[in-house]
Amino acid sequence: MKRYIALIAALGLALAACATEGGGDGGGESCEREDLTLVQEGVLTIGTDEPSFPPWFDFDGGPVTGTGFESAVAYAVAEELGFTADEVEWVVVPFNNSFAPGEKDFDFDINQISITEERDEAVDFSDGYYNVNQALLGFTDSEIASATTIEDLKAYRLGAQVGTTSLDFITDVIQPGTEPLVYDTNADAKAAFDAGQLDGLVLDLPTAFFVSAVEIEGSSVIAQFPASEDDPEQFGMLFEEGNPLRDCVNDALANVDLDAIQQEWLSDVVDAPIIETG
Amino acid sequence: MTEAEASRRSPGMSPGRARRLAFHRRQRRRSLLIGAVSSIVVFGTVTLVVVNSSGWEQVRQSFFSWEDFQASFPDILSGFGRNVRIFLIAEAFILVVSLLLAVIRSSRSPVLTPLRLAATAYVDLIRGIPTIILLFLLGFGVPALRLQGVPNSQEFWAITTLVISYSAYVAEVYRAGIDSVHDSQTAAARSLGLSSAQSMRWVVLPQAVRRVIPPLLNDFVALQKDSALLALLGVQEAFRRAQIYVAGTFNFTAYLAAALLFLILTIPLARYTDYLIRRQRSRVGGTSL
Amino acid sequence: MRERLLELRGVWKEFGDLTVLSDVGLELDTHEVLAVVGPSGSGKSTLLRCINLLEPIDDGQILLEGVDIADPEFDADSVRRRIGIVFQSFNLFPHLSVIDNIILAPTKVLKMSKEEAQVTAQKLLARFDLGDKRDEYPDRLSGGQQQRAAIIRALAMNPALILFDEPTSALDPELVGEVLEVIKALAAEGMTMIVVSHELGFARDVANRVLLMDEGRVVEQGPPEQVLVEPRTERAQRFLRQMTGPR
Repeated sequence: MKRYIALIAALGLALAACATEGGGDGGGESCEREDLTLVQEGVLTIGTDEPSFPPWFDFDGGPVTGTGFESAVAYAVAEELGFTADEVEWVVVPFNNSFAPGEKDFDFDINQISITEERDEAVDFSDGYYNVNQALLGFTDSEIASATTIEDLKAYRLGAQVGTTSLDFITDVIQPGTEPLVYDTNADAKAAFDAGQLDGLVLDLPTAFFVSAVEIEGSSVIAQFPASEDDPEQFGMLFEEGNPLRDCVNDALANVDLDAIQQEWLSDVVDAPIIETG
Repeated sequence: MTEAEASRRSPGMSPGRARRLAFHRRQRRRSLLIGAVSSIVVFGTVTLVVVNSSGWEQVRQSFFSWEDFQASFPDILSGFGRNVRIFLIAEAFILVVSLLLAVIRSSRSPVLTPLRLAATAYVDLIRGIPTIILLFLLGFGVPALRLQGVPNSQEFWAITTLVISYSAYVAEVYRAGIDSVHDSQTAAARSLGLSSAQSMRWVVLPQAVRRVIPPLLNDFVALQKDSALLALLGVQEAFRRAQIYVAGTFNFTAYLAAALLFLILTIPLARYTDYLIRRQRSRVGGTSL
Repeated sequence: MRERLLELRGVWKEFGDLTVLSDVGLELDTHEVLAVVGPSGSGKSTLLRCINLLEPIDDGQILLEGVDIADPEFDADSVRRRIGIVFQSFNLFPHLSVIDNIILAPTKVLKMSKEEAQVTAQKLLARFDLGDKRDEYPDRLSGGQQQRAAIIRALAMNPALILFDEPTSALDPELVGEVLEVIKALAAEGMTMIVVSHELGFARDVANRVLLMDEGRVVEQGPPEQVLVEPRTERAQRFLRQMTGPR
């Protein structure tokens, strides 16, 4: 019997000894390339979802092509940090996993991730690099196309991807009479929309525009919802909590000409009617 | 007490017998005691080790948080109503469709040959396709064709997918049950002048179905869990409700809450199945299923 | 009045390479009791199963009241309701009570009403001492009771002929008697029967004629005093010696 007690006590101690404290170093780190904290030596590891969609990335070629707004921003930041294009590696990170707490296998993730308070508690964000407008995708010759106010929209079946600010927009702002439909991915949401199971799909404006222009025939951006002026929703690059690289990326971002990149990739003016969120 | 007195008190109780009985009583008590003590020691130790390990507090917060459970449970419970509805409806159809398939496959009538071929092809094909692929094909693919008269409700397509998928498996369960009813039963039935169909209906099937109730219940339990597939079509059932909560808070207790609801249904059903298996042997014969 | 009920002519039956019935012929008049005896594997059971069309024959004729029922185009189901059979292992339906076992065929095949069928069944049960078992399930009955119930089940269809396939072979010795009593009683009432059995004493008492089979052939036919006591053929004599043991 005594032997067993000793064995169990030993096990307990061993387990206690295994516990490690996660932790970062103090601030004030140098942003010289050699001093950067990276998950992989000599390489800048960037995460995004797969497949990646225009106008943010290239669908066929993926993020490595540099085609697309976010791809361009990522490579511009990499260059500022001192990495050539060959020294950038991409890893696949499903959208919903990116802002969950825990260790990350990337240096930062860029994937149309909006900066929110809840997410900020689990991870760290860079400064915003794009102001987001939510938008409503619908079929051009359908009833919902004639909606002009938030009130009008309450009568329809709306949908969005789970865990997105688009879904929050439906639940918090539009507050429709029927429960919104919620999908694992935007791909599923688009399939459902195409199958006529939804009246309207809420997406960020550039994505909505791309879907209507290229992907789903007969659809259009029924409305855009302007972001608030003093506290706009913004996309940010996502970091593991406490990652000192964040500050260096912010420095790099400050030197990147975001306006020019936006001009190149997101310049299509969308003529969608504006619905005030009041 | 003398030996003589002892045997007068309980007729038939010789001293030897009394000694034997007492010994067995002691043995039983000892076994119970050892069982109880060792269980306490093992489970107690595991619990102590786990609770005192360094990661425990984070795990507890993340998975077993009472506040998050309370916060998420009402929504999850109301979503669960949708799961229950679709698996109940699906099961009713599955039991009927698969029985038909099994009877068709077991028949030997030449008139039924095309049906028999179709049934075999159906079972082989469907058992090879992951249910989730079927769900996407039927739930998104078919409605996208915009055919006249084709329903577009998510619940309809989820139920249809589950019925198509599960009938293929359950048909085989029925078929095994039918095959397990001994030929002599059919011989006796036919000898009385019952037709082939009558034999099947009144003699073989009643026995076959009773025998396969345990595996049928097993498949029903699996079906209950697969009702979560409804979420893929966008419906906010229990799993999706939990997922929405988790996405907003990064606390995983909501998933456990959803799992708990499923367990409340499946565990009693599993115990009931065990009870039926035990009770069944003499009535309609055992089964190797 | 006696009429020819059943006649077999030149019946052959093969299972693959094995010839199980070889040019078998027999005749049976109404009210006759025919006992079929012989060593194991002689084809006795197969013979019965061919007569009630559970097995098809490969050649020959089976004439029931003059009509060849073995003709492949003949409706077998209509024949089977006229020929009852009692199996060695009873084959009661375990999911039905005794009375439901008995009324199943009369209600479904003869289209009797449930009440009518129950009345008939009850009478038969009472007659054969099973009245108090009507609602029991077969697994609660002794072997002898089950076999008696099986006999009643066959009787309830009011058959022209009943076949018995070793009805007591699966019974414990002390239960054999009660079943033989039932068969004797049926014989006394004039039921036409073919009984395959090892019980030679019983065959001697009840049968009008005895058929001895060996290796698929009819070796000897005749009254019991002949076949079972002073057989004429060498084969039959050998069989008798084997069955009764050295004296």
